[in-house]
Amino acid sequence: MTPEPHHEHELDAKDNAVFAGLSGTMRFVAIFLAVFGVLLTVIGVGSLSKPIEAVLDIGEGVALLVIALLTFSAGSSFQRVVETEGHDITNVMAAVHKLRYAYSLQSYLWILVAVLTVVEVVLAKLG
Amino acid sequence: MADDASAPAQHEFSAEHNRTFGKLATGMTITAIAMAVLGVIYIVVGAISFAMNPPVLLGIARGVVFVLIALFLASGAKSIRHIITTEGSDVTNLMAAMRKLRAVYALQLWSFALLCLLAVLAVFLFFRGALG
Repeated sequence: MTPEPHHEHELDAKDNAVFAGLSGTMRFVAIFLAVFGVLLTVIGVGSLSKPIEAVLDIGEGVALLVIALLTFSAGSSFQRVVETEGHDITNVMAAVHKLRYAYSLQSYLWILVAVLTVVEVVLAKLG
Repeated sequence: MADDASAPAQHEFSAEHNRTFGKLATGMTITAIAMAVLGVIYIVVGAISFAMNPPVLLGIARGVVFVLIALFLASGAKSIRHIITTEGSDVTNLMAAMRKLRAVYALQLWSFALLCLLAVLAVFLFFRGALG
C-alpha cells in the first residue's frame, strides 16, 4: 500500500500577494544593508590607526552583512510561498527560522550600539 | 443544508512551529525595545544640542525613524505571539503579522532611500562648494 501524499495548507491569492510584497521589500532592504555593511567594513579597515573605532566599524559591518544575507534568504523563502504549490507552510517556516536568527543578531547589535552611544555621549559631556 | 461546521478549519501550527514563532517574537520584541531606546537617545541628543544644523536634524530624523520601526516591530511581534496563544485562527494571525512585517521593511526601505538621497545631496553640495 503506497502512503498517501502529504498535502500542506495552501495559502490563497490574497495571502500570496502579501508574501510577494513582503519578499520584494525584504530583498531590497537586504541589498541596502549589505551595501552599508560593506561600506562600514571598508571604513573600519581604512581606520586601523584607531583600533577601537576600527574594530567597532568592522564588527557592525560584518553583523549588517550577516543580517542582510539572512534577510535576503528569508525574503527568497517567502517568494517560494508564492511561486510553489504544496509547500507553503514549509517555506513560511523556513523564512521564519531565518528571520528569527536575523532578529536575534539585530537585537544584540542595537543593544551594543545603544550602550556605545550612551558611553560616547557621557564621555563627551565629561570631557 | 449547509452549516457552519462545514466551513474549512484554518491550518494549526505544530508545537515545534510555535516554538520557532516564539523565538522570532522574542527577537523582534528585544530588537524593538533596543531600537526604541536608541531612537529616543538620538532624539534627546539632538534636542539638547540646541543646534539646527544638518547633522543634528539628521540625528533627530534617524531617532524618529527608529522609534517608528520599533513600534511596528513590537506590533508584529504581538501578532506572532497570537499564533502561539490562540487556536483556530493561526493563518489569520500569521497574515496580520506578515502585513506588519511588510510595513517595517517598507519603512526601512524608504528611510534607506532617503538616506541615499541626502548622501548624494551632501556630496553634490560638497563638490559645488569645493569648485565654487
